[in-house]
Amino acid sequence: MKLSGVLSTAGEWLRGEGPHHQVVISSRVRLARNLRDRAFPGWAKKTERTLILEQIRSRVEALSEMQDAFSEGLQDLPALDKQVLVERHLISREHAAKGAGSAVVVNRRQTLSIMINEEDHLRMQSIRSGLQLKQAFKLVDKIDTALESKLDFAFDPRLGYLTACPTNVGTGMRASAMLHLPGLVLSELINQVIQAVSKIGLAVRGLYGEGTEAMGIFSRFQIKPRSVKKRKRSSIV
Amino acid sequence: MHKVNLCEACSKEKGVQDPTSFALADLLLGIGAAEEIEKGAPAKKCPVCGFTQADFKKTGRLGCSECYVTFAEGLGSLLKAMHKGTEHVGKLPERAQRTIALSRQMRALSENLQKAVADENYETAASLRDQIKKLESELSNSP
Repeated sequence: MKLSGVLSTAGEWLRGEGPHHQVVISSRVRLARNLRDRAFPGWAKKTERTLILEQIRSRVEALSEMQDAFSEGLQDLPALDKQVLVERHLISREHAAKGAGSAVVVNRRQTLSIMINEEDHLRMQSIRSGLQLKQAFKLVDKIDTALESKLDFAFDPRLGYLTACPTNVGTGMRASAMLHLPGLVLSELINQVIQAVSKIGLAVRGLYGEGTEAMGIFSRFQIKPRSVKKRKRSSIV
Repeated sequence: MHKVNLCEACSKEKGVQDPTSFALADLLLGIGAAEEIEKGAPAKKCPVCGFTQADFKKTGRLGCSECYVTFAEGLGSLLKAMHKGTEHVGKLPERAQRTIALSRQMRALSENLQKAVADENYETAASLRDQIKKLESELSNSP
């Protein structure tokens, strides 16, 4: 599929469907994975990064879920196209800044996007319309299992999956829901809510993820399982 | 009010003690960590990717998966502060499942053995030692 194919149809999450769609714009679950004993993308030399990319990209494109997918190296994408992918939440702003040695693969329905050589070798995310965290998790978990039979992921029996940033170690998972809460903003109660949710292990992020601003009245509530954890991963979602 | 933008080195020179401008290593590892790393004896270097502690100070990211072994000592307290526990209990990669189950069993047996020896319960200790030996051979045969 070409980029025009991505552009001509809105992603599933942009349709405003799904459970609780009046409040929950979208749900997203992402997993971070790395290859064992290979330098993480931020530290790898260009040649190593390119080798890693080739190794991962062929495996990702071969997934049944990725039939007729959009797959492109970041160096071949013009700035405007990258911007569109960021706006569709298919790549992060950090990934958009990458060039040779990084790529993105998006499935036809735009419910699954895999960034190769972002901060980690693999950032797999599923994004769905409304409150569908379980469905998003199921898809990304299936993809993870399929890929791990082909790729040797960095894993430590005690710490879990190993990632470039120590905060992601463990499950490598983040689950988030983007909420539209105009009532709480207008009644000026949103700050109280933000303070309260931070006490129960939720973080509030801007519209485009960590370090970005909440735009108007949209903000994203993110669940960080504080990765090395006591519960089964699926029970967190 | 007069606003001046200073880099970390210049601000130190001018005696600025701004709590928001602490080095990343200080934030992550506790106050003074950055200096300790700088002063520290021969800097540790990851044998796989050549990453050093100073690089971690600069970037806040690690070099490769082996860095978690190389810098295990310093990372221990950091990971403890960042996460709820220090033992992963989520998904395991299929290919590693058997080995991981065996090594977990091994750790439990070793702990019991130490306890049995401390309690002078030599009969239990002997049986535990035999079990450990058997597990050891299984572990060395697994992929």
